[in-house]
Amino acid sequence: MKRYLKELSIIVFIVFIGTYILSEKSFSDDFIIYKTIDTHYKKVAWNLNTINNRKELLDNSTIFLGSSIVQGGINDSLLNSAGIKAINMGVPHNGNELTLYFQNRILKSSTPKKIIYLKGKIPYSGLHKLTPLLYTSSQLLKNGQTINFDYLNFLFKKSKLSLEYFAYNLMGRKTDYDGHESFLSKSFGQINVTNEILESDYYKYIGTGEGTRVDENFNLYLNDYLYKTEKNDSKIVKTLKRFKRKTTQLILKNNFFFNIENQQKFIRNAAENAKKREVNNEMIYIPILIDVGSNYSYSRSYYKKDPLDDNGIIHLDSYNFLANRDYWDDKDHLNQRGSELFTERIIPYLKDNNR
Amino acid sequence: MIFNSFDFAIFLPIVFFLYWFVTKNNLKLQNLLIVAASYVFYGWWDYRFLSLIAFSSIVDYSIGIALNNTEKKSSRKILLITSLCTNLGLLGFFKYYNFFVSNFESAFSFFGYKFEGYTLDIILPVGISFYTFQTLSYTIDVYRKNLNPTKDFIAFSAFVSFFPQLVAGPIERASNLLPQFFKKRNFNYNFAVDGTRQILWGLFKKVVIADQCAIYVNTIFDNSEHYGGVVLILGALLFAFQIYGDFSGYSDIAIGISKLFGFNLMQNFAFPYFSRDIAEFWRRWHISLSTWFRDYLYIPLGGSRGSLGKKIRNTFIIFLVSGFWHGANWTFIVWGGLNALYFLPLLLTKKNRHNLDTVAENRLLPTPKELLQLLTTFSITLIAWIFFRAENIGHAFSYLKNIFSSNSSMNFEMEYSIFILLLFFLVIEWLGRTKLYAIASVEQTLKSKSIRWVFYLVLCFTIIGYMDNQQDFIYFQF
Repeated sequence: MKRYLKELSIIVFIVFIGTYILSEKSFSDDFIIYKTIDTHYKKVAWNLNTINNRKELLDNSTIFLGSSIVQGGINDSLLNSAGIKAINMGVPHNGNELTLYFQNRILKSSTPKKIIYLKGKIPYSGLHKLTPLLYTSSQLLKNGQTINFDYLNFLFKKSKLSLEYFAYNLMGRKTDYDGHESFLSKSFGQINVTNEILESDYYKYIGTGEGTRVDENFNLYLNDYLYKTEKNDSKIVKTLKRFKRKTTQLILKNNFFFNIENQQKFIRNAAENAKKREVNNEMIYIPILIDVGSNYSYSRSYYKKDPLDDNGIIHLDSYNFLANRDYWDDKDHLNQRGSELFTERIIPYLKDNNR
Repeated sequence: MIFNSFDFAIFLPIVFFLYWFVTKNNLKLQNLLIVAASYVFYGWWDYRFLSLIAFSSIVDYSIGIALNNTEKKSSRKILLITSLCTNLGLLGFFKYYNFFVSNFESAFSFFGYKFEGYTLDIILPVGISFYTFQTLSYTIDVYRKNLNPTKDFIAFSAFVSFFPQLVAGPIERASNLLPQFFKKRNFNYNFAVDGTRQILWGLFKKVVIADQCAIYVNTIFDNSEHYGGVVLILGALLFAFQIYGDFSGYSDIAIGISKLFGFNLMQNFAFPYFSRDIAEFWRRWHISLSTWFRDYLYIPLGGSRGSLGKKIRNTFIIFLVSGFWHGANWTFIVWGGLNALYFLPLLLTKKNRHNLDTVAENRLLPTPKELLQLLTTFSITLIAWIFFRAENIGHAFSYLKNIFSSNSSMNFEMEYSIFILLLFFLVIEWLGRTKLYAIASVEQTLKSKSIRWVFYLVLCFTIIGYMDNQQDFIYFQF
């Protein structure tokens, strides 16, 4: 047994060292664009092309960073028409490390006026799917990542990409931009979606009157960790349920197994970096479908509070003006019409120079 | 939980540690740990269906004991029928109910009658076809008095739910696996190293070969109407490698893991694509199922003895049932039927047991005749695989029709690295074709330990490199 475990440990150790070495390879922008241009994440290619070749769009501009909620929800064309120089650099999927990455790249070559981050409903977890493409292992660790399962997952994915990158360079490949020029040369970053949510889905998620189970779940911490249907349960059952939920939260709210707090570190680092470069930053809350509604019979908030909120959050008191199926792409995303309405509402906040 | 997942990478070392360090000297505790681990393994996917495994275990355990307590023929028959009805009933309900209802509806409407059956929204419990067949083998063997029933319920539960082979086989015979739960298991270095090597090769087959082929296979089969003959043949060819890599990869991992715990499972694949005729192919493909059907269905029906009509009947029964076992779809039945048609000429000319050895044994390369035989056998299995992979019969026929269409363009983009991988894979498999798995004899081939380790590391990094296109094992759906 000893000999077996020793040999197995050696091989596992060599594999880890090997993956770590591979994960230290940083990739060229050309490779990143090659990997993303034909995918759901083509906005990454657009962002990099804009940072590298269209500095004029970024200088003295208000830059929006965040997930697909930003990508589809902020109409930067409308903002520019309203006299606010702005650019939407949101990319699909959650992960504050991507916000941090793009901000660092922007600040290296440009001087934006302000950077606005997306405020999530609850803190994100895990890592963004594209993190292995953008970060090396040491860069990620330097920015606050701790060693846990998310990191190990990153290591393996990064190693795979590094091997692919060697092959890419070996074959002397260059990204073929044919057919993508018009997309890459766009002056605005919003990806317009004209789709409308299915009627059944719309009514399933809209939080009118009694709210929804999903919304209640988000706000459970404000309601003594109990759903309103559980208020009449016996005392012991309520205590057990509360205990289970609090414990689960306590176990999950650390970085030992998976990223929870690390995600907050990334966004705090982004805010600090911006501050160092004397670039203003704040956050914006963009609604999802369950935010549309009123008269809830439980305590609720649009988002969970965080110390970073002190930098300022653009949010509206009510999102009921979006209570129409025509404004939603799906339960989490505004479509083009919805984003126009929402963007119009935030213009006064963006014009307020005191912010 | 699937073998090529992160969850399993954590689960396995924990169970291994508890098994060899905590429950080490206590056989009962080791068996209990196997049951607990197996239930966690299965429950990870859907805990509700654990009740089915538990139910199946209780029923067959009790019937085994009852069979031992009676010599009366009629009572023994009733007990056997009870087991058959319970196990096949569960399988029939979860797997075939909707198929039969919808086919009855179609049949009635064909004759002008209206029949409205109620189809149900049923989830197919993972691995149900595997563990029901395993428990059935126990009851049948006890009924036939080939095996003494066990009175140890924990050991029996461990036999039914043994996690390495619970969801996709090999379908173990009670006579082989069950006695191993009563023997003291000692850690054996060579056995464990062999198991680890087999796991590594299984992972390579699954992650690098099957999952990479799957990317192209899915695109080609899902859009078959847009492609010409060359691309469609390529799709079928890649599917042949996908299904082999997927299923034999799973078997290798299962057998390898079992070795880590001191168990020896039966070989499930013996390099089937190196077969010189279809009979040899079926002796080498999914051996645990083929032999199950041979022992519990084909031979009781009379096998290859009796009149010509009986031989033909038995051949068709076994292949059609084998096809139907794979799923409630006519495509599988046609796949089984096609294989019966391939097999029949060999049976009738008594050539079905011609190629019992390994091709080109003691030689590096096959003779031209052998090569031709290998290619012919592989080609006819490709046609059958099209039915196996197609969504429905119509899709399979249109796929075949399009192969011969005038559209011969190669309008399909793919990475050439897949061909390099396939070539590497084929060479290794060819070199190791006389062994239990392709790299079993690597210690004899690569004498230097450092070269051997470099080989293992190359495999490890290739697996890591292709890890992110994770696909479920195809045979989970059966």
